[in-house]
Amino acid sequence: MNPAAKDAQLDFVRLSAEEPSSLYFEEFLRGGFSAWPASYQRRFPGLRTWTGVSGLKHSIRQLIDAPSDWQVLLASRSLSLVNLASSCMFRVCRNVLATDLSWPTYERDIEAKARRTGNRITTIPLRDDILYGGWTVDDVASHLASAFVEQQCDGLFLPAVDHLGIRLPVREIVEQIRERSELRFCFIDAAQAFCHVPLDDCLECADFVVAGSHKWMGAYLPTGIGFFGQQRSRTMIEHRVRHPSQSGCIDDPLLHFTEQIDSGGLDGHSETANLTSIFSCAGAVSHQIDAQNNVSTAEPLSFDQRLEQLPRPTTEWKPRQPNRSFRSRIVLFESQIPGSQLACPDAIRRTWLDSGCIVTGYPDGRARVSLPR
Amino acid sequence: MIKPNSALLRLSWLPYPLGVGMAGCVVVALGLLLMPTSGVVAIVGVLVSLLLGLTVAISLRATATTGTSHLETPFLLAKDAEMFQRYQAVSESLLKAGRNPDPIYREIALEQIDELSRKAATIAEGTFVFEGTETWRIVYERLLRSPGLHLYRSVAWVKNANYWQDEPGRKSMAVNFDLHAAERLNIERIAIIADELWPAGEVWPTELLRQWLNEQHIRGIWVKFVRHSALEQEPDLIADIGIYGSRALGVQELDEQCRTVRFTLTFDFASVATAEDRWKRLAVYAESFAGYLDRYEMPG
Repeated sequence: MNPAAKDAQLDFVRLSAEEPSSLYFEEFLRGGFSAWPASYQRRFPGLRTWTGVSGLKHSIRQLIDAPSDWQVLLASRSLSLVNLASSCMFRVCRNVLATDLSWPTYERDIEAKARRTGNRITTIPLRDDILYGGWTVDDVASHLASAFVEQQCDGLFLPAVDHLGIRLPVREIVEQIRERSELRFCFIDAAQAFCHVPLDDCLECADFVVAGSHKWMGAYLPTGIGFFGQQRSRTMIEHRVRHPSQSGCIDDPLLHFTEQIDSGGLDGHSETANLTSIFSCAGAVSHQIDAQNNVSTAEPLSFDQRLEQLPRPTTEWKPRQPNRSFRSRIVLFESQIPGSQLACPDAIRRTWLDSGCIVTGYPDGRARVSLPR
Repeated sequence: MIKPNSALLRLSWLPYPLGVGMAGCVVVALGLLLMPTSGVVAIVGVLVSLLLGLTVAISLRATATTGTSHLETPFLLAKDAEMFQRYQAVSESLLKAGRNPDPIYREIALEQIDELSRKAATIAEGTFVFEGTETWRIVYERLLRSPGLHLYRSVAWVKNANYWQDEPGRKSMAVNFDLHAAERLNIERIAIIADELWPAGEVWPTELLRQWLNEQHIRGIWVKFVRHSALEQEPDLIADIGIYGSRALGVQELDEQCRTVRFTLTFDFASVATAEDRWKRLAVYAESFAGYLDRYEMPG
């Protein structure tokens, strides 16, 4: 958790305890820290990163270098936004192409939506070819474009970076598909990419991008963050956001609350929303922007040097590296020790922890490491 | 009059199969006495094959509607209570009409009954025709709301700006929007637009039409559009149709004021399949409204 996120969260909890029904609160939500009287500003300095709902959205756009007319949505969980995006996607798409790199929870949600709406999802295996087959960007893009045409797909769902660290060439894939077929809606899961790799390609190609605050952004508390703004689809998505009763599925009090605050007024009938996460999100965004602006002048270590310096239990643990274009700061390690494939995830995690490295263990004897910035 | 014994009637068919069975037994018995084992096996094989062929022929005859004798008709209809009720009503009306001795009455009655007969034949072929009325929209809505229908593809031939702008048209659009928003139905529409509503030099069609297309786009209906003149080489693609899943096809004919002249609804699968092929060909010529928005700013 980054320090600004921590300060914001702690001071918001203190504000709730000490000033539970402050008359300044709605103004504070809209206008931010600067809208408060000086006495409040002195008492709750950790909330100085709060610039109001629209200010937070503006900062998030700034953080990812998104065009100013792009919309940002804030929800209590990213799954609510996945639901919204798939709802929009299956209004116009009959068969959506996905890969085995999808986060299983999102994939299940999208599959359920496809079934409910009488549509289909076609899943193409890619992971083994990228990790073990030495596939290049062109191999992946042309394979997916061919599958898209053969399977008569019209929608696309891809992770920008998958949970095992494969960074997909989103732009190349979308370009090849568009050259050969009609792509009606492109939905990108950037949960692992946000504040980790640049999102320029996603913003250029996607109709909807979903991300979250609790992973690489370091807000600790989860906030779902959604982006959209393509001319071809923005009015359709806006309509869906503004008429949630028609969708019948977007049940997220924080999303409704922040949209109402942002558009001018509360209707007085919304469900009570837990607001803590958006304050820690604002702190984390502020911290990330500061970090971007204050890049160290020292020569940074290369990816390979940092990988080399990574403490690991034994030299038998080797990184499983795909072609260089697919690499991200998430690295997958495989043990060369015979029988290690049978090790349980918890045992792998403990083994690595003993050597001073926190990892995620997987049942097939693999360990996932996220290299810090 | 002597009433026939119904139990005997039920058994009257028995001697024939019994006779055939007995004859078969005799043939096999003779074979056993006079022929080697392989010969007997061959005879049994031939008899079993004949039996199978006979069974298939009988079952086909029982299920075939054509060639059914008129006496069998009520028995075949009896298993469908709703249809049988109509059969009885029509039969009684025919009997009653047949008893009227007036020659002029008879002449008119026969003409009218012939007309009914032709209409019934069309219905039997899976087709309904609604002429000079907007009441077809009731059936249209019933179809769209029917469970199991997930995809409705519509080709709108827009000859003038009043297309579906009257009260019945707006109500039908409201049904489209409700079902599409509730995720009960996926709707796709291709609009064939008359050139005077979308002149060759203009980027966008006229304002009213543009708004009509844009409203559908905003609500998530996948909309494509094409100028009428772009289809000059493919005149069979120019029609106002609705494809209801793979279940039915509706063809609307409009006058110059966009009022319905005729609406033909058919449940004939071959017609639906042909319309699907035409839809795919038409989609090649048409441009998506969404893609157009990426390239051109929409005025107002």
